Amino acid sequence: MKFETEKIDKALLFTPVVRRLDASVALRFKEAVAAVIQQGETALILDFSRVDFIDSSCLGALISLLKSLSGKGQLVLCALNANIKAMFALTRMDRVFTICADRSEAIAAINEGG
Amino acid sequence: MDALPPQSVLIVDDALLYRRLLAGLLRQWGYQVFEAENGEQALTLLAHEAVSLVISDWEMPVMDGLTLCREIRQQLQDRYIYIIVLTARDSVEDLRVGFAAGADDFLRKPVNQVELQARLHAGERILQLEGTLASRNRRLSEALTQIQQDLQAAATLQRSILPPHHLRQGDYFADWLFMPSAWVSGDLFHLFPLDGKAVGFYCVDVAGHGVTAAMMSVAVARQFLHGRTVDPFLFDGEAVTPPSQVVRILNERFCAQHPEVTSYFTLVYGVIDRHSGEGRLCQAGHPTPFIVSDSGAVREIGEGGPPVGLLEHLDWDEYAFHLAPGERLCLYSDGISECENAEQQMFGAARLEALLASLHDHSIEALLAAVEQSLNQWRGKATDEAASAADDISLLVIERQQGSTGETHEI
Repeated sequence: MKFETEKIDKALLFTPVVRRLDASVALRFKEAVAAVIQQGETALILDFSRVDFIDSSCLGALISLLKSLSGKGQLVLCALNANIKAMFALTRMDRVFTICADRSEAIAAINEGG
Repeated sequence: MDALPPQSVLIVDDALLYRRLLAGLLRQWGYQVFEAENGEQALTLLAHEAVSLVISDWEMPVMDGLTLCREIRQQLQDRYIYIIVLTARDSVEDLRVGFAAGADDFLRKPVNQVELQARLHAGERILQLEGTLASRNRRLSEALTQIQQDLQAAATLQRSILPPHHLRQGDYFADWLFMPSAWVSGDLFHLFPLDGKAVGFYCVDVAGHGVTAAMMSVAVARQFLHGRTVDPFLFDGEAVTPPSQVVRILNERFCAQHPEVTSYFTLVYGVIDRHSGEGRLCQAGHPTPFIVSDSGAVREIGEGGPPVGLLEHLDWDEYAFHLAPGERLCLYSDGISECENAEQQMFGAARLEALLASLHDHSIEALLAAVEQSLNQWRGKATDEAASAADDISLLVIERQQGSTGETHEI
């Protein structure tokens, strides 16, 4: 699984470059983001603009990443397509994660969050 | 088969004197030496003797050195034999042809002793490496066999917790479609009696696949079984526990057991009053169930809710519904709605709803067969093809029948 990272101000933008974020890549995805957190990044933006589909394994990975950051940093999701948004709404995870329309909104959310 | 310690060397040369000279030298160096006059003799000998190093002349009568190389590579595939070809030739094209035939190395005639010893040592190193690889491969293949046996056992166990077909609880009849994505799946469903007044039902989808998912689905099935017997949290003898309360109990139990979020599940759990058809259900991350009326009208029941085992201390909403005689309550896993066709389009909830609505006057059995066919068509698979979907597919259809007098089977 490929991903791109970019540092903007204090936020680290993490963009998975994969059409389906499913069980076959869930563990690698989680470990790649966890490694970034391990390196001391505390303001993370996950950009899903390149992703069409997220399955339940990746939702599990996202929750576990959120838990690992709790109290120590911020995790913001952005650029979710209609499918992914519907999945977050169905599972009520849209109330657990900070979800932004795009990168600039996500960066603003990080800056507001201190 | 392990590469044998390369102390045994076979020398193949039709020139007797030269062969003897070489053999004497190798014996001095501590090798056990076999001799052959040509390729054919060499092959016969290799079939019986544990030789892994061959020094062969190129030009020989009956069978030359390159033919011998090809025959060794073709006939003796269970062990690696390191072949050094002796030759007076040294053009690049000769080398290319020799390597292509299966030679590992070349040695120019007349043979220099120091060079011969160096090349023998190089060959031994390769054979040692080969031996290590072979034994590692053997251990891997043994482990794979063990894993496959365990998977098969897990699949059998998982299948054993699925209910029988044709479930009947008084006026309520249910049947299901199940297409696992791999050998082992994490989907689960049931229609069961709670007491004389109510029936309960659930549809579960454990996140992920494989043994971990199957084991978790067994743990969930146990909760629902024990919840009616030794640990009656579904029904306390007087009242049926509200579905949202049941889901909350399950969530606290599974969160406590799995603090690391390696696995969680989505479900719909609900109860229906047998006589009135009044029901309540709790939706926990599972696709929204829907009712198909006897005229083919569809209404969805539920607006979402968090999955179970992800986050502690959550609350769930409950959705009320009424199932009239002739109506069908349909519950399905996201393996159906997220089933992709060749153009990477998803089957979608709307298509499933429309399909079940169009089949409202068919028997449930015919309806399930049509859904299976439709999904296989969508995936571009023939119905009899064993190719599995990307995710587990399950569909439970519960029908309230018109005052039928079927017996209740306590399951």
